[in-house]
Amino acid sequence: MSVFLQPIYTQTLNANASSITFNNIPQGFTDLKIVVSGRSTEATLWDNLFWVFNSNTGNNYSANQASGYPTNAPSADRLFGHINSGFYPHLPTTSATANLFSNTEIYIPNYSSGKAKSWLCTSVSERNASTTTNYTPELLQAAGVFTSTSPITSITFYCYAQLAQYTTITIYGVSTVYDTGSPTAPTIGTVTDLGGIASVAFTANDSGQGRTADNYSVYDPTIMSAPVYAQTSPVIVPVSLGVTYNNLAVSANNAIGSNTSANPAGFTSFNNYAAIASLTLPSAGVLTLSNIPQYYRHLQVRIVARGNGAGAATGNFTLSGNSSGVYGWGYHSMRGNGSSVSAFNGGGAGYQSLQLPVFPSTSQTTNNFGICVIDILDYTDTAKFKTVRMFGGYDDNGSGVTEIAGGYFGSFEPVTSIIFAWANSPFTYATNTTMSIYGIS
Amino acid sequence: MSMFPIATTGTMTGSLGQVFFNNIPSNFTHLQLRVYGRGNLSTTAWQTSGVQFNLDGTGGNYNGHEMWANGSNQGTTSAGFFNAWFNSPYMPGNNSLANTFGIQIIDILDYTNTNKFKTIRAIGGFDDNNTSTTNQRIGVYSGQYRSTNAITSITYNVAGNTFIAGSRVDLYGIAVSNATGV
Repeated sequence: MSVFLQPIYTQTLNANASSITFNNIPQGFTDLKIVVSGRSTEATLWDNLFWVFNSNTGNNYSANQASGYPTNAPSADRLFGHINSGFYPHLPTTSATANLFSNTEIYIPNYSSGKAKSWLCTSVSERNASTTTNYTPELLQAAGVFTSTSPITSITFYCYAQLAQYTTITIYGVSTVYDTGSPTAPTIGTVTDLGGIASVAFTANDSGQGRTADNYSVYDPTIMSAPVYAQTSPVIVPVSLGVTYNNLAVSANNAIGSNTSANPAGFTSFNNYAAIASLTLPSAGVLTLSNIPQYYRHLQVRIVARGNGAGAATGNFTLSGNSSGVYGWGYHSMRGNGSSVSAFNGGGAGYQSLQLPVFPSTSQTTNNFGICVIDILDYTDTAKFKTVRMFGGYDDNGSGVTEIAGGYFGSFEPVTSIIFAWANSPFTYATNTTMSIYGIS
Repeated sequence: MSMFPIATTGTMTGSLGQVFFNNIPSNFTHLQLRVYGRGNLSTTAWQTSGVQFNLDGTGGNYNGHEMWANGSNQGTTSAGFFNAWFNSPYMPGNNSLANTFGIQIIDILDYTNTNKFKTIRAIGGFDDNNTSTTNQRIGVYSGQYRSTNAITSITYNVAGNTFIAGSRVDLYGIAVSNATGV
């Protein structure tokens, strides 16, 4: 082979989405090559492809470009810190020829070095016309730099509107090492039940240069229709409840061949409800749970809380995706206190969190805690806003509050973080106030 | 490894008017053509060429654009409207510096995807070591093949002329990953 180009990750949008993010980029290659077939959902104006490395949205990007548009002379521009992201070739929008996507290549040498990251971009977007509309068609050649000296471990792509369905991005690793043999079989470890998900741990036994594994996979052909791949341990395998898997083995794969671990594990999942994290809420301030696993279907949050002050103890709850965008909520709630019922509603960009039910404070019986259960459905679905159902309250043997609320979080992004913040300062929360998060498959 | 040779002309030992790659396998995601070429067009020092898919010569199914420079001038052009070919980069012609060949790298993404027209990106050019700058050219090229059919064949034509001996055209298939990195 004259070129060693290893595909690391590929994502194809099954629906419009605000961004595409690649995490855990392996550091064992020399360079990265990224290929983008992209389109925007923008209806009336132009749109650009942006990229951010390592979630770094600081003023750490600059670029030079030469771009050409029919009927206009080519132009050269220098961009500095534009919108704190990488350079922006234009994407075909809905005003462009239907079914057309951009053809973009980004090359990043030495992406894992301790130096600033230079990159090259060649990009074209087409249109069936001899004139330009909304910067399409475009022919573009650019060179830029990301001034951070940190290795690139993640990349997020986005645009002003949304990336259109069927947009595809692949990241390739470029290496100077050619494989001369298949990798050594890994050693399978513990299989953990994550609630409808099997986490298959393994230890890589790479033999070194020339026999490195490009990826790892788990495949039980008696039950699974296709292998499940991962770059590092563990391999996350969706499983059916109550079904016994007898041949969960891990294979190490490269272009030469594969070798499979001995002693395949047997495994049966009996539940679809798994604990992700259990946290002690701070007495004041903001708590953020990040890097929420994306392989469940729904999330459930359970809060047990009590206020330290004399007045009502309330908190705000919100969700976040990877783009750090700020989105609005819409909600309705019904609250009863044993003698009357009241209703609340609100929505719009100004509502950036959902207010939790009132919890007991020092005005209530000592050691009396309130509870709240929050269900977030389809939290990774990029075709839906995130619908939230909340039920909570407390009883103080003569007084109390019960509240049920429904709301939506107005973002198509998969939920990757949950943020809890106290609504009333300086009131604080009592010791043993906790928040637990569960994944439901 | 993800880049695999599908077909090649090998280094041509004589003239060849047209390159035809047929029965392109469908198990890759992208295609890349690499051309090392020189034509025999005798009236100029540069040679045009074109790419056609699936023997589809339907006028209006192709168009493209070019951003070019030759050391003293630069420009953008629109080409191929209602043409039956994608205009690929220039290569040296018969009057160019002897033994000089041009380089083209032509990328075709998602060539089997039936939800997309096929967008083509190419870079190419050559240098003539000549102070007469009109004899050399570099460029970035874009094109579209307005069909959602999978590409199963590629025809590379030097605009009615021929490749000369020493030229070479290679076709590669490029795979993608099953892992998503989510």
